[in-house]
Amino acid sequence: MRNSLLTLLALTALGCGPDEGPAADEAGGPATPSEETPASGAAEEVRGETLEAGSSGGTFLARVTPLVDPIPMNEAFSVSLSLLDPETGAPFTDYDEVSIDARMPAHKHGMLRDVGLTPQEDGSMRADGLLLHMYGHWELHVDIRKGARFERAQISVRLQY
Amino acid sequence: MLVTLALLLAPAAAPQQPAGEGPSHLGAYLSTVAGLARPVAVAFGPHLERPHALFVATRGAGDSSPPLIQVFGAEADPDRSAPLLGSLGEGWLERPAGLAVSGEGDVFVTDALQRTLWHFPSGGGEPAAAASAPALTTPAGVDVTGSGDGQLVVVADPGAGSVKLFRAGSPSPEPLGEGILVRPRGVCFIDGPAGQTQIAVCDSATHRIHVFQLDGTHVLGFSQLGPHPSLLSGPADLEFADGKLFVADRENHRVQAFHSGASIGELAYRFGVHAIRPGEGAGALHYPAALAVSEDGALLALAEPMDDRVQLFGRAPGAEPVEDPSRAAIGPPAAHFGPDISSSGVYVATVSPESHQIQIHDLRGKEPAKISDVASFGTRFGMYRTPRATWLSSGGQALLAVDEGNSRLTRSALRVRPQEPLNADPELARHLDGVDLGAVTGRPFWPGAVAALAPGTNNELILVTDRATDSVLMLDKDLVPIGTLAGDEETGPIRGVAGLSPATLGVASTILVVDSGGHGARGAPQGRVFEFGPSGAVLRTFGEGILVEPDGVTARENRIWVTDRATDRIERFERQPGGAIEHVGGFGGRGLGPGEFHDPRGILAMDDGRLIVLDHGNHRGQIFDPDHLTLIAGFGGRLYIEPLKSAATWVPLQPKSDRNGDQGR
Repeated sequence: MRNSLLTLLALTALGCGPDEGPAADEAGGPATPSEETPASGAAEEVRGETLEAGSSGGTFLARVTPLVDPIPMNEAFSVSLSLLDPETGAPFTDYDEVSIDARMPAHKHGMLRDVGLTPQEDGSMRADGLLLHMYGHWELHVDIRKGARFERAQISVRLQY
Repeated sequence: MLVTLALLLAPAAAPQQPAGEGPSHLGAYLSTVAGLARPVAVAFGPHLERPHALFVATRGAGDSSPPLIQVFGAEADPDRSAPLLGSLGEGWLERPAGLAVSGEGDVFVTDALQRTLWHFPSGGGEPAAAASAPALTTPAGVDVTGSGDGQLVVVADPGAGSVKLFRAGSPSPEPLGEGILVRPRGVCFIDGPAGQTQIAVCDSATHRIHVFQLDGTHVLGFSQLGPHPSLLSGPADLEFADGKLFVADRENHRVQAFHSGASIGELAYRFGVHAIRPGEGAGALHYPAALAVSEDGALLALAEPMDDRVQLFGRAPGAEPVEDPSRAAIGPPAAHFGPDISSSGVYVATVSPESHQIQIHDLRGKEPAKISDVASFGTRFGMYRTPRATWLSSGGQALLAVDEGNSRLTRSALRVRPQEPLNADPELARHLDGVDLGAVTGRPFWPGAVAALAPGTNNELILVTDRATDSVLMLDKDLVPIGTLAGDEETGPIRGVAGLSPATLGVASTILVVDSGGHGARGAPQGRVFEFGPSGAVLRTFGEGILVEPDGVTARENRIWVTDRATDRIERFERQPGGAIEHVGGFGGRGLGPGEFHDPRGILAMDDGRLIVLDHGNHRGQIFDPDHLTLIAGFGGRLYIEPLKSAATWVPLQPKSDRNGDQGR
């Protein structure tokens, strides 16, 4: 198991198709690999594939780049998290709180730890302390709170042998 | 529904042992006071010549059994029943919730509907309101200590999310625990370090016990949600005795005794076995909701409103019970259907508060097949703490849920596939967005029911009931508050807001809101239903004189059905030409047979004509063909649907006389 290949996949099959109702549109669709290059100034770092998803209400775009490749099983790792205005691509800052978490919906559990977010000079955030302790399908939840409202962007990843 | 074993210990049939003769503990089953109409609170105190009489507050079950307090001569003798000594409060109480008796025999009772703390003097005579709104929002548990100028009375107020401390008879309380407590239900005074008096509170939303100094300083909190020893699920009441905190661990169907002093929070012992069979007792527990210990420590009383009884426990040798390993299974809490149900397309959503999830069922067949559990317990967005209601729309693709622990409305998308074969999908739901109802209204908000008009459109209107203010909050599609529904000058206020449902009046949509307390006088609870127009104006009320404690409501075409928790009946109404709504019959009554109920809650008229009733107290649902008054199917706990299956399916229900003497359907 230790030598197994860990692969991060976008789970396009997990989202609802156009004929399956409003879920895909409202949820911003499944995570898809981004064509954007990693943020400048970190070229020396090992980075995984950047994934992104729109929030459920279309308020922001969440972009997640693992700062490790592949994502390890049962070891803490970090990601770069950027929130962007979906129309202009500018950093999105119109929120009071932001958090990132990972859950395994089929198992009804998630990570057992909080993730620390540290603002970076380029407007992104570094999220330290993610830990995926099982192989399988995980969902990264990027939640913002603005006043009394919550809104989520959800990104699917699969940790495979 | 899951049939689940809760924490099981020995049924505590050990011989009785008086206090003071070597180590002993409270927890040996003695006897049962049965036939009580929904006992919700208990206390011990002096009455006439008896120093430790048992006081029981009952919620009542209709005209023949009004809310009151009964006093029994309980004794620590398994061979002697507790004789009824007297009663008080009849004609004054409407929905008693908490009960305490001082050392002098003064009786303090909270009434959640009246939002009042009543004081019945020991010498008899008329009671006085010791406190009322706005000092109290939705009072629940109460305790009293001391006398005269040194008397302290503390009230748990789940509607306000705090406890209220009254000193020396003052009607103006000091709030404690704001920002820490969410839904405090039970409260008691305890002996703290160096003889200090402290206050212990159980919180049914966070499943924790908190201790405060009298000045409001938070001392500590302990325990959390779970079935294992020392963990709690829906703690409903607590009492200090023997130097221990006894907690009615309601949804684990047991009592847990925690140490106080230097080792406060450590579990001393637990007792109680989960009642599995309908009505099982004699030490087997079923949702114990309130407890009390006599001053001499000889008796512990447990109120179980779902079984209309109070069980008495005495002392047994040894510092703690001896476990029976053959019954020591531990599992998650059992789940009751109710209090809410919703459907869209072929899908049905039910709420099981103690599971902290919403269940999604496929109802293409005769009986619902569960295909997913939505969410899990937690405080983060996308998690629930004690979900109360749900609303399904868009053919099952859109789900609204409100949970009382987080005071939150959550909007989710469901990946249903009605064209494909029935299949379970643990990843059915994606949580989209939500709103903190307390933050958006700027007040403590206690969500109870939810519905939507024109879902999925720009005109979507989301409605959420607020039990703290007895009103309905209206939100637009962006979850922005746009108004409130409440009674007007002519109708008076809503008292005890419960279920809600959209209805139609011609081509317009209207909103039905259940007013479970109604406009009845003290001692005569009478529920009713409001109908609001699209503008928010009250169009009419109906059900007065028929409904006692209505809860759920559903409408389809010109028919409206309402569940009544007090009478265990379903009442049917029909809209008449011109818009008026008239009672045209009903069916039900307490029992396990087809068309009989125990605490019916959620009700749903499906698009295909089937009528589903969540028979909450019977751990089951019943599906009817309302046109022919026949039972189509039952679902839920095996032992509870057996009486339905043993009868032939399509059993015609026996028409019952309605409350006006007319023959109902």
